Amino acid sequence: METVSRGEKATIYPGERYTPRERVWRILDHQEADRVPAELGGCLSFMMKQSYFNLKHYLHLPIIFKEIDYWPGGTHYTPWWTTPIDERIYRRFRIDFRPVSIRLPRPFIPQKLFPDNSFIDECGFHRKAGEIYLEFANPAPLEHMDTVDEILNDPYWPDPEKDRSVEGLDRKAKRLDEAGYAVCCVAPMGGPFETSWQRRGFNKFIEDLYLRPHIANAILDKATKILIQMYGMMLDQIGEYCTLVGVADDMGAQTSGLLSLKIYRQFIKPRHKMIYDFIHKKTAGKIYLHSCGNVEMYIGDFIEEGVDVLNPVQPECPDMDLAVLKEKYGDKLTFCGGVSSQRVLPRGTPADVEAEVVRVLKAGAAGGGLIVAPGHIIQPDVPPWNVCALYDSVIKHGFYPIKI
Amino acid sequence: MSGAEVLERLKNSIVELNLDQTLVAAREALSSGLSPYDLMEAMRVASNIVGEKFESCEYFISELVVAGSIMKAVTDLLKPHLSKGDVKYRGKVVIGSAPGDLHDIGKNLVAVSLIGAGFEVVDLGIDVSPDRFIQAVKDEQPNILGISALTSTTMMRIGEVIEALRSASIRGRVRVILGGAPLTEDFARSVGADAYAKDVVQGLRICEGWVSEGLSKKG
Repeated sequence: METVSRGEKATIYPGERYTPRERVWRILDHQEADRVPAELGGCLSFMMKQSYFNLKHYLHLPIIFKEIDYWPGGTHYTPWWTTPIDERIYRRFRIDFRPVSIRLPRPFIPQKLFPDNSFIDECGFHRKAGEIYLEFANPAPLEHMDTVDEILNDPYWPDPEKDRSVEGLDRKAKRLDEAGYAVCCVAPMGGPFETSWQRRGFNKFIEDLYLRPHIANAILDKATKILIQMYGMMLDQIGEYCTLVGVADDMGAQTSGLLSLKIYRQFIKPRHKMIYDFIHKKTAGKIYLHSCGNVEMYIGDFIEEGVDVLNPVQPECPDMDLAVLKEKYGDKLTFCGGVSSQRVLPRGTPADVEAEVVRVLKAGAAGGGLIVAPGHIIQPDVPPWNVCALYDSVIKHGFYPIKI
Repeated sequence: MSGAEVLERLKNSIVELNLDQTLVAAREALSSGLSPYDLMEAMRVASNIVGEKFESCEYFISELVVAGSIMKAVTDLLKPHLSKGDVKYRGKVVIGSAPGDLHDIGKNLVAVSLIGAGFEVVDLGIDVSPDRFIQAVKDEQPNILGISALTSTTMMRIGEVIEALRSASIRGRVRVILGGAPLTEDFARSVGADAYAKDVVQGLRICEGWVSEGLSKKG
């Protein structure tokens, strides 16, 4: 496999007419391009480390130093959303997107380490590493607090100005933009709903929404403020280069929404709108929302809030059939995802994966508005040949006009 | 106000997700001389209505969580009033996340909903090894064993747990029910479980079905 240096221009392959950025903008503007773009690790379409290392091994690529990062418990610590993807893999799969994110200026040190090896991370979440995941541990840091004062005075709320750095972000974004890629601004935190429950505990925060709204509002306001600050720091540097700005707030469970619409509209929607309006003021880039599970009931609201791209469109969830969503919302929303990651990717053959990609292209590619990607994070049990089959099939079948 | 009216109010306040009114009604019911078991029955009816509202998409996960918390608060209030030997639970469930799986939001919701519906629940927590499941089945003598997994990787380890039950010759003592995002009916059957539930309410209905059939122990 060829090696590529960091500043190198994006390749325009035979049969293609656009640079990656031009292609993505056409697709986002709901026009057909030369081909359908695919996403992996460029915005908010992730891959677990284990499957990533399997893939590198399969492609005969060495593990490079920045891909391994240790925290004191002995397990890797790179937050999973920033798994660095080797430039050679981006090129092998013709990924049009490149992420740019705020950094931790120093090596990661837990804010607090507990005897069971769980720790408070840089976002103020209580976490513990298992065999596969870094999960949220109990109790959540704010779980046993009873007053707004106590909650707001908790010492582990992140402070982006103090904890993070945007140094060099503009140079990186400019270089990627000039090379012809679609630059994605990604925040290393979820949206206000996720951040709130991750700090307060899921059940406790849901109870707050119904039984202690003053506490729910205080936590949500704080989370919203931090997020706006973080996006502000990034977009002041790179706003002019962004094609996408990634935001993430999981509103769905597998079979239904997590919150009733009434509660969603009362507590969450106004904060989403506030954050997205802020982002829109700072950049011409489009808003790319990761919200997994069955989120169909919220899509109309997402669009009103200003969301342009919805990820990951999990095909195993009821109501998330891409063909139906395309019919209903396709004029306003671009879909990124759609490939079965709970069934086909881990259990199917490469031929099954190809058929799955064809299904997704048929359902969503017409008229632009589709970026093919896995229907959720690629899990450790996904064999590397299936990952290759996914992206190879997009190249094989994804040229417009789609003839399948 | 008659006993029946207080219990009706208790039931309605749970369904309407009003914690304060629920606790007021529960205290009133107890002080008016109603038995804690009358309250538990009212709670079971309320839990059933909440489940129906979930099935008809009037309620969502968030309402199940809040109803669960409210019913747990009532259960805590009743505890001192229940004489130990005489508590009649509908059944006993041991529940835990699959080996290697650290996720527990769904599993916790199932546990709390089962408590609300009148089951005794022993929650083993997350990342439960096959050995711990076996030990709990031996020690706790449950009717039902519930196993949850969120990811396609960890769900594959549910088979180990059921296999371990078989090797320990105690598979026949419990009904096994599985739940979690990536699971399917076919998967549950292939690893030898008795049932798969696509969501909390369906799981509750299956467990209720088993106890009312009187077939809580597999023959």
